[in-house]
Amino acid sequence: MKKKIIFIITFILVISSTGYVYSRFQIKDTKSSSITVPENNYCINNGFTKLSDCMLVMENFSDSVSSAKSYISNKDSADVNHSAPTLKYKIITNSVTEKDVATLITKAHFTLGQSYTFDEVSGMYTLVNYTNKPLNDNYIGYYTCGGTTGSYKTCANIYKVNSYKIINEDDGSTTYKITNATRYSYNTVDSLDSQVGLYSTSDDDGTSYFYRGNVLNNYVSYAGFIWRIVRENGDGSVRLIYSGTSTSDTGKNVTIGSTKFNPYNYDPIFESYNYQPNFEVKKQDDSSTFTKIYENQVYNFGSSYRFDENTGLFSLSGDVITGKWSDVKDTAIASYPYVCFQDQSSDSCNWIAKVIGKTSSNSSAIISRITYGTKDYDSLFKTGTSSSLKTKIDNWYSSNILGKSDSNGVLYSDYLTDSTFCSDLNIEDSSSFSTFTDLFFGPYRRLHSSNSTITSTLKCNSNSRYTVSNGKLTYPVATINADETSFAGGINGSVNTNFYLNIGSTYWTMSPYFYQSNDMIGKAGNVTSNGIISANIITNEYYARPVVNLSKNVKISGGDGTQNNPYIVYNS
Amino acid sequence: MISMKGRNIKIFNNKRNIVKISSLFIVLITAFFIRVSFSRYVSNKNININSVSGNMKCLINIDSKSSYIENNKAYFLVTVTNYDGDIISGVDVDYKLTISNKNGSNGVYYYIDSDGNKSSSSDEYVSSLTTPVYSFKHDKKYETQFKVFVKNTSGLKEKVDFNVDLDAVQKENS
Repeated sequence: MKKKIIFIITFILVISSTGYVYSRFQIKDTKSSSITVPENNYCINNGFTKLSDCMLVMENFSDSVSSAKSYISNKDSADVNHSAPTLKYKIITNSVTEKDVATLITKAHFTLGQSYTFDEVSGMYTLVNYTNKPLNDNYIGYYTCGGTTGSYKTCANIYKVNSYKIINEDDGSTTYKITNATRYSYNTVDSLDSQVGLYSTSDDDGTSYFYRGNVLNNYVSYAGFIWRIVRENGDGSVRLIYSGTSTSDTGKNVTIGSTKFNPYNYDPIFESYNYQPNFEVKKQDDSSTFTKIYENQVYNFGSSYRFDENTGLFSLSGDVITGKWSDVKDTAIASYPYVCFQDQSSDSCNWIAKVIGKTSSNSSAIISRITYGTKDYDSLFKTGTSSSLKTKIDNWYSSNILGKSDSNGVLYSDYLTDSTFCSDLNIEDSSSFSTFTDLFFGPYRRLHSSNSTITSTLKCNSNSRYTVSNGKLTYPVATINADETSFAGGINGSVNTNFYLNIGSTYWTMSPYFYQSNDMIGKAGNVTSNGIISANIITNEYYARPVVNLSKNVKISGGDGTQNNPYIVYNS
Repeated sequence: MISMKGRNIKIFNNKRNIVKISSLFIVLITAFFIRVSFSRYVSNKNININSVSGNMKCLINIDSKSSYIENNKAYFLVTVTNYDGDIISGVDVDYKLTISNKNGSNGVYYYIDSDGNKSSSSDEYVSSLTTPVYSFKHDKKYETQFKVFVKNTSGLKEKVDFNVDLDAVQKENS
């Protein structure tokens, strides 16, 4: 009996421990809850027939406009120091050849790094321990951003060199090809707690409610076109940005075509959306380094110059020599110092350089400038000549809105109101204004500065306000400014493909950024093709997107703002 | 006679021993091949199962508020973790979720998780959806969040009751 008991106990212990060791444990759990799903056609069903009211109540299906405004105002402030949506970047790789990627072929060199770092916040790669060299076997396994004439070490895609080829061309040049590479790019993931929807801030007319982030419910149909709501202005009007003819349009199809910001670049006045030249001849007291000499360009150098007050242009006079800068620099400095570096296609130019010294580079020189440029700071704010960007937008408005009416016979222009646009040309210290010094305008200081006390704003200095009534606009149309793109979720230097203002093509804002005096280059703000808030030279061509403001009393006949069901604007 | 009887008893005892040992052997072999025999099923909030390799943890939490509206759609949040407070699961976990209607509700669902994975590449809403299998290791705290958007088929304002079912199992070879 005793043995039986021992046997049974042993049996049970063996079974328990065996099962204990070899089973996998499973958990099943059920949680229950409920959620209230809002109705379709909420605005029309509940009497919110004005677009300005509907867009607000739709944010949280509020039962009144006042409660909607209260709800929006009580949300966290828009974090303009970060993008919206907030992105997480993940590295992805794939194999490519020079046939897939043009930047893997160069006649210059590659910037090659032993390794790289990847910024998960900005999505940018940076080469580590890099050098600028032609390819050889030592660089197999190195990383590069692509071919360059300079140093190219930070980029959105890098390539690991797996194999290469060197081709000696018939013309004596050499072509370097990376024939096989591993491309490192990235995937972006929106953080689930990203800011999205309506937020509020002050403008000069009251509280403005603006859309921010990956917004999908701000589509409007007006005047036969599709628009996206940017914000409700403080005066209750609704600001729209052009978005094509269909809610499925993207890229250049949500623009009205490309244009320069302005055709000239040699004076800060050309950074103005609407400018009025007030020029005088100015001579630079000191000197500066000019770095835009084309090494293979043949220039004319004169012993003196003259200025034509009728045309406002300079030309060479006296004795003239001709040659590349690298060949004639010493002679020019000694006896023929005047040259039009700006443009060699004609005999005259907007400004003339006096070369007074040379540098170690054949593409730069020490110069003193004589310009016909903006007389004083106040002249920056005078208007009368439309920029190329303004002209493009005004022409579109004239052709598509002006004089046209809807099915009720109401003019499309009657839906609009003359709300303020802002193009901020103010610099930090107006007393320091000079066309021979670098100038940093308001948008640049707010969006690019590391000074945390300066931030984006929808308020506008009185000298920078644009309306029809103050004479700075021809029609009640302009375009978006850089501060608005910041509130919408864009950020300087960081890719953001998922905020609603990114369209996959680069387009202008109406914001001046900075004027670089050494090379006499002006840059204006833009939204790049991957959603970066950036700036570029005003003589480049980028796309244009008109912006208008609907009156606060404009009604809708239906829609919920989504891509499949945009708000339909009509006037009863 | 006595010696024969003793011999017979001895033989009979040996046979019994052989039967016992054989039975034990069979039981051992059987137990070895039955791998999932002794799991426990729980229905309470906190799940804590002991095993020789440590505690297994897998918790879900639902966060549903009336203010959770995004781009005209209501949503709730489901968070799955491998920890409870400071106690991390002692084993790797595979899990999946099933979201479905309750009490005859007419909700349709779509989710995005915290790694950007979506329930449908075409943004389709369905009345019952089951996630693929997710995994947690047990080297540190992990959590995955699901933002679940809800619509209904009627287009009317409607309260939707739903269930979120967690099915978790200790990962093999962990």
